[in-house]
Amino acid sequence: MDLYPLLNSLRIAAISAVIVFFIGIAAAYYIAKCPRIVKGVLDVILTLPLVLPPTVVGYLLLLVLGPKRVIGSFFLESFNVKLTMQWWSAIFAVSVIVLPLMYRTARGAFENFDENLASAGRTLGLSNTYIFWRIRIPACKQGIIAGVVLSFARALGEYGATSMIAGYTPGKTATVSTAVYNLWRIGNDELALKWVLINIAISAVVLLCINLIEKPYGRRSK
Amino acid sequence: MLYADFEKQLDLFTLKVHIDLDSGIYSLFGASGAGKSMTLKCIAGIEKPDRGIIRLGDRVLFDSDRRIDLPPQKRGVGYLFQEYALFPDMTVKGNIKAGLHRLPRKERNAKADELMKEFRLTSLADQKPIRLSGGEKQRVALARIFASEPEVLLLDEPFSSLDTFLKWELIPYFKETLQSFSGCSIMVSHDIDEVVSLCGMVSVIQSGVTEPAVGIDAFRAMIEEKLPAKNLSKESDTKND
Repeated sequence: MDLYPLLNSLRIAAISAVIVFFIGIAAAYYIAKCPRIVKGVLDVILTLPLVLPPTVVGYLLLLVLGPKRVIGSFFLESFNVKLTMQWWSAIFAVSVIVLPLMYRTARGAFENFDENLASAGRTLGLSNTYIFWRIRIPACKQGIIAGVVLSFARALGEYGATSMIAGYTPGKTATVSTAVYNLWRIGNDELALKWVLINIAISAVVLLCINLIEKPYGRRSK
Repeated sequence: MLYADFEKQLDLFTLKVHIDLDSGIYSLFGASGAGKSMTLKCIAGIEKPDRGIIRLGDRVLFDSDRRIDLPPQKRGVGYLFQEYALFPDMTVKGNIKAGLHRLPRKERNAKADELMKEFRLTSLADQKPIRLSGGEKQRVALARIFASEPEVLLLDEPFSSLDTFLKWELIPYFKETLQSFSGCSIMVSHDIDEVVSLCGMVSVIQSGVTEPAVGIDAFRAMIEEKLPAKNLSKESDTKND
């Protein structure tokens, strides 16, 4: 059995989780400071991918990244790089789909943060960067870790947008989810079932991890 | 030494503060919601007044006409928060070291040890704040503030999160610590007994407006005139909101 789809899914999910970690946290932090109307608009935009069908997200991504579209053609002409149908093309799709999960969990964590801690840090002469990374993030770590793990889990399972932007090329762009569909389509039920079971196992382990992360802290804070 | 004269529009009233003090422990006395904490936050630079001027010694911290508004990091103001605002993910020593950031990294450790000794915290060095009692938290917060060597101390209801018994046990130590401090202190409080036992000057603040400061004896006379003496102690006992 060729394990390439598993490897590919894991690396796409891992890279996407890292990307949304930074973007999600930055968005949660800065959007909270925006005026109310701007905040409302940005909040809707960043949360939309959560409720839109992944195919719609895939379509929109192709609209900008496709080889004949603005960004896609720019990269093709300037760097001779095609942004679609590569294994890493899925990272665009997965990151967009997963960002709302990270953004919303990080925002929830930040909203519970005691601003007096930041103020105390400032009166003590600590830089805003130090306060952010050494006081705010650690105080919110439980929510942030949960957000990352949840994003990773969701990233592993992304199908719709991935299949549109990266397609299914065995040994190149195949992921677990696209492999299951394509194996089933060609009637290879046995192999499809194996991937289904692998997928269930990984997702269950990830969710178990979330529970293990949340419990000790939850108990301590109450 | 500290001169503050500013206004800030709040939801329910306009804060009009006039404070001019040279040394010693000064109290802003008033009911909850009278604008006491907001006053301290404006002086510390956490909140921004609409207009006015704040000076510390010969340094201008805030001047709306000249568009000067120093960030809290540059004001040299120590702020003791109501619940002490200790950093929950750092140990006692880590919290104190956070106040020592202006020192070169190598010197911080020795200085932190020194401060922990001074504030009787050495045995608690590796504890997280959540494991500390109220009095211990207060000492850590004070040590951390002294580590940053402020020129003025702002104390926001320093005893409100402690029970009455513990409070009276801590006050003599607290007073000693404040008296050893070379700059001046402003303590915000709604507790008459606290004010009388700690402060030299008192300014009453009502609906955001500060009245001219009076000496502690004049303050006591004023209170006794308004409230019969026997009600005074009763009032302060039941007041712990």
